[in-house]
Amino acid sequence: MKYNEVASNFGKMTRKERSKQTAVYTSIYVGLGLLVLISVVPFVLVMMNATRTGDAIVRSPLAIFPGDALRANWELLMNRTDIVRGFVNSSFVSITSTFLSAYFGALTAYGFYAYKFKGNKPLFVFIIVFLMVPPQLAFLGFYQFMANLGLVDTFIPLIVPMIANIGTIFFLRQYAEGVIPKTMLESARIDGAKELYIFHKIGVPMLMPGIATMSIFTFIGSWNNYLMARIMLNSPDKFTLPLQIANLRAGNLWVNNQGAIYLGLAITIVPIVLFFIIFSRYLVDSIAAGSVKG
Amino acid sequence: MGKKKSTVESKRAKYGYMFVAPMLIVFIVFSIYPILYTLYLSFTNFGGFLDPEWVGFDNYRRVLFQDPTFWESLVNTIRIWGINIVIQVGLAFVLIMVFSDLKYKIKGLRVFRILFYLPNLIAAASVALIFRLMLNTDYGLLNTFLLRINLISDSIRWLDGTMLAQISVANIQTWMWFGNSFILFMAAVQAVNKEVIESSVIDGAGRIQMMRHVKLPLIKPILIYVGVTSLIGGLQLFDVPYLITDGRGAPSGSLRTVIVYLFNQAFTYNNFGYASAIAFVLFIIVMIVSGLFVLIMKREDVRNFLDARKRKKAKL
Amino acid sequence: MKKLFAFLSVAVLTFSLAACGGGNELNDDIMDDPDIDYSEETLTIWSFTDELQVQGDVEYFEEQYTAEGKEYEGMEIEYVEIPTADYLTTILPTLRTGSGAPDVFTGELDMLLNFMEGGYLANLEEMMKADEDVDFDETKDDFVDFIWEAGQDTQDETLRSLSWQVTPGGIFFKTDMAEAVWGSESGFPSDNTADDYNQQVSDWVAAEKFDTLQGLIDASEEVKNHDANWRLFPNDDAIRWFSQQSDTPESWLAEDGLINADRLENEEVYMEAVADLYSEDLDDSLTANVGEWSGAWYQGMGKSFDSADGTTFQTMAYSMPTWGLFDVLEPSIELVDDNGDTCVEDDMTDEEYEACEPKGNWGVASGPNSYFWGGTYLNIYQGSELKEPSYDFVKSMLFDTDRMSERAENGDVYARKSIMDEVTADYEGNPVLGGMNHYEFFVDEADKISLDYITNYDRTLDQIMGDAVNDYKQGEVDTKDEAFSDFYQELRSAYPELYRSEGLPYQD
Repeated sequence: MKYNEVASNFGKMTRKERSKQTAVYTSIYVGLGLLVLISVVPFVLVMMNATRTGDAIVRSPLAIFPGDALRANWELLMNRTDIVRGFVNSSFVSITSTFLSAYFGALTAYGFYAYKFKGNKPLFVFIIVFLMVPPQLAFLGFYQFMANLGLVDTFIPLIVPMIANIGTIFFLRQYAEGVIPKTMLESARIDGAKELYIFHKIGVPMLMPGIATMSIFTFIGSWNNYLMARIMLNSPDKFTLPLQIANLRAGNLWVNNQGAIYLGLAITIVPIVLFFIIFSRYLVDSIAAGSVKG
Repeated sequence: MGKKKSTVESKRAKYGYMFVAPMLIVFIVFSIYPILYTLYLSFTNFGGFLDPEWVGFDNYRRVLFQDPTFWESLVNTIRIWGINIVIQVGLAFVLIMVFSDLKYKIKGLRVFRILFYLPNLIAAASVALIFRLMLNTDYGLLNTFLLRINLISDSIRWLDGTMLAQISVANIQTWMWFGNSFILFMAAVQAVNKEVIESSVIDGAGRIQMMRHVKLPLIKPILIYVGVTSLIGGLQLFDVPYLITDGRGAPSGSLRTVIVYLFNQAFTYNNFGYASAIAFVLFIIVMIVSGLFVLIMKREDVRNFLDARKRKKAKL
Repeated sequence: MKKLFAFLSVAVLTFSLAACGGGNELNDDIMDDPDIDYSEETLTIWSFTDELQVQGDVEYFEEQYTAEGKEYEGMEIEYVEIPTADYLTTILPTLRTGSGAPDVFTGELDMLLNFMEGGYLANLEEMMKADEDVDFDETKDDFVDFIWEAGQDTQDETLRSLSWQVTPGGIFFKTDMAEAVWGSESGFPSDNTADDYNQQVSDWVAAEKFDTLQGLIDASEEVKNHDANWRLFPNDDAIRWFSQQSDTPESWLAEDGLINADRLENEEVYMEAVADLYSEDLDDSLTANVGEWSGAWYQGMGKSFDSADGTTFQTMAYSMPTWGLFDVLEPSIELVDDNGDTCVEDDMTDEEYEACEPKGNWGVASGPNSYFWGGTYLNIYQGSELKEPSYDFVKSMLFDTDRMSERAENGDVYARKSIMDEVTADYEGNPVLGGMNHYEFFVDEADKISLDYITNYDRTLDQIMGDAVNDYKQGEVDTKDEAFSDFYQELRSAYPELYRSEGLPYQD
């Protein structure tokens, strides 16, 4: 039926219109294809070159086919830096950060939403101000302070501040308004539930979609964080992946064994891309949601 | 009755404090205090080794009046951001025109969105290394490719020429962020009832007019949002320019952004106090930008409100 | 509820108290905690190169000290390479806070002053004196003077840092290309079958072609005139070592501690020389425009390399130090089979390829002046809790003469005279250099070097001047005036206290 409709529409068009239409479609798709190519080619190159020797890459840099040096590259890379360790470190920092940011973000947002207390409004406005003026600009003072506390070269400066993740709090506070009816909280109280219990049993589940949205960005941001990690972490066994990657710029490896460097890059990229593709449907809407409200 | 309710509420107020307290404490300790500490350091000659010594406004005098390098780094930063934002938004505009066209139904929005967004997922540190390999003058992929297909006859100094390096880095930023802008703009356009757009077609609006009079107003708030968040982020640009060069922003300091400069002042030249003053000046600049943004948004609200009143009055 | 608040306020208080009581006290202790269980510990070594790993020094230490039944049985060694560009910005803050700091770390000459100023270096002298295996005074006499002096603390002259190597450089060049270009000139060695032919050619070019900066430019022109696809140097970086045209270069800082005008005058000459050599268009350029450490740069050490557009180029000469010979040149040179034909790895079986020999067509000559490049010093962190193994590591590299003699085969030139005497005497000549004794050459060069001119600021000032030179040669700035005012601006941003308000070239 539908096919017939299209076919009959098509039939109504003159030849000229039809060929014009084809031309427009073709050029649009070619344009989009080109853009896709630009977006994706670096990924493909990284993946392919991760399996080729440094020599092969230098000799024929444009060859887009896999080689057989994956294993050798892996050994070179591991010889240079314990990338598994970096992976574990990055995962630890990102997961704890995301969890803290999610839990305390929800707790704070819920606190602002569910209770009337003196200073509620001014405090919230205060927070919004720092949404605009990023406190991380003061990283020198932060670094010096952490150094005085002896917290340099620990994960604490990277993780604990996430308890006060302003963006998450702001978003969830606005989100709560739409999803948690205050009457529901009242009736829970009448049933004799404790406040913290109500937060856990009603607040958190209701906020969950919002929490998930913000957690995705917290996670990606934390996984990719370079500057703060660069300043705070000294010992290589604490390095996160971006630090290890940046360290690959050194010496012989950079010149002679680009394959190993590409492999290192691939290792930082693949998990996050997989994560994204698996959850992509959900994520794309989150990107929009996270900002429209933000 | 009302009184009773308010006492219950004020009794419950302590929970409000309790729920907000952990965040507030962390915020004060890890954000407010470091800001104040940076402010303090900016008034000292702290070099990292000896105890800080109070120097009054010396550092600020130096940043504002005696250090052309700071201003150059600010101009560099803004220029890189500017090139990036124009291309990025322009590209996103073209894309929403394509995907929201009524006559030509372009399929695969979902897939395209994902593919365009991919570059945004990679750590800027990795992006810097990838492009450092690809854009190398002597053995980079891009030059080799262009030479082999005879599009150019001499290697292009993508990252070694002053102006070109800035354009390259700006385009890398575009590469990372255009998918994000596209998704945001598209969401705004899609949020609107299709009939509004269709009816304007019946009114005889062409594509460009549609863009100007229908779609652009729709995405204006988002546009401002994207512009300002990207400016705030752009002013803090560090990872790519730092890692794609020698760490000091060569060639000729053209990739020396404010944060790259600040980083080097603090960690290479050991001028911690002076670097703190630079941080604070940047802080104030960002604050002004954000303030302007809030003002613009406010004005928008006010105008909408007035329009609504006018319409109401007209009806009456 | 109240408890929570109480807890939180205590926490904040502790935080702020701890904040006040920062600052770690350094102790000059050279002994470890007697209860320490080394098998539980990890000795961390930081370096900006991979040489300690590649050259087997870490492995040797493991064999001697951490293997089963040895003194530090079971102790782990962690070797960390940090990119040179990041090295100081990473290690200085780390040493300052002490968190995650290495036990042993390397540094180049100009970095040492930074380390000493911060008080980060353990007292090596005291450790040596406490070690009955080491005769301090004898060892001191055995070391090349300037290496030893560079390791002495500027404050109290105690030895805190030391290098096993001296790293003077020369100009390595292909004698066969030299013969093709200059063979007909008077005095050029005529008998190319003579045993010391490479030496003769080296002496000749050193005296006739490489003796001044201008000489190098003229030579570049002659090579290019001989063959349009031949170049003397792969790029102008090769002449950066000769910017001062003196064995005793001008220091960046004058006696009064401000920037040295004489140094800048020399830099101006050098800037012009670079501009003469360079042209963006390869056809006009007197060098091959291939960046140092790029693939083509390495390939050029072999027979030839293809430029990006496919033209085959040959480069004659590379400015390189001691380690450049074994670490860079030797792995890249042209190999030939029995018939004297060039070996190409892809066209031969592995066996055939392994049977190939170096062509032996390289010589090494002294440039317009002697210079040194690199040189790795060993340091022990003052705050290390593993001072004894740290010292033993340093000892295994600096005072274990048997090991040093053995390791000399790798090609390093040692800072210890006794070892160099032994190595030089036994040496039968380097096949890459057609039998030349490069040890002799380098020891002679090392003798000419003085290090009086090193300052804390060298690295940064070299880089800033390097940028200015680059901008001038590439036409990013049109005049030397502009290049110098850029330099001054950078100088005043980084170190305003060094700027001199008058008497500098191109000063407004």
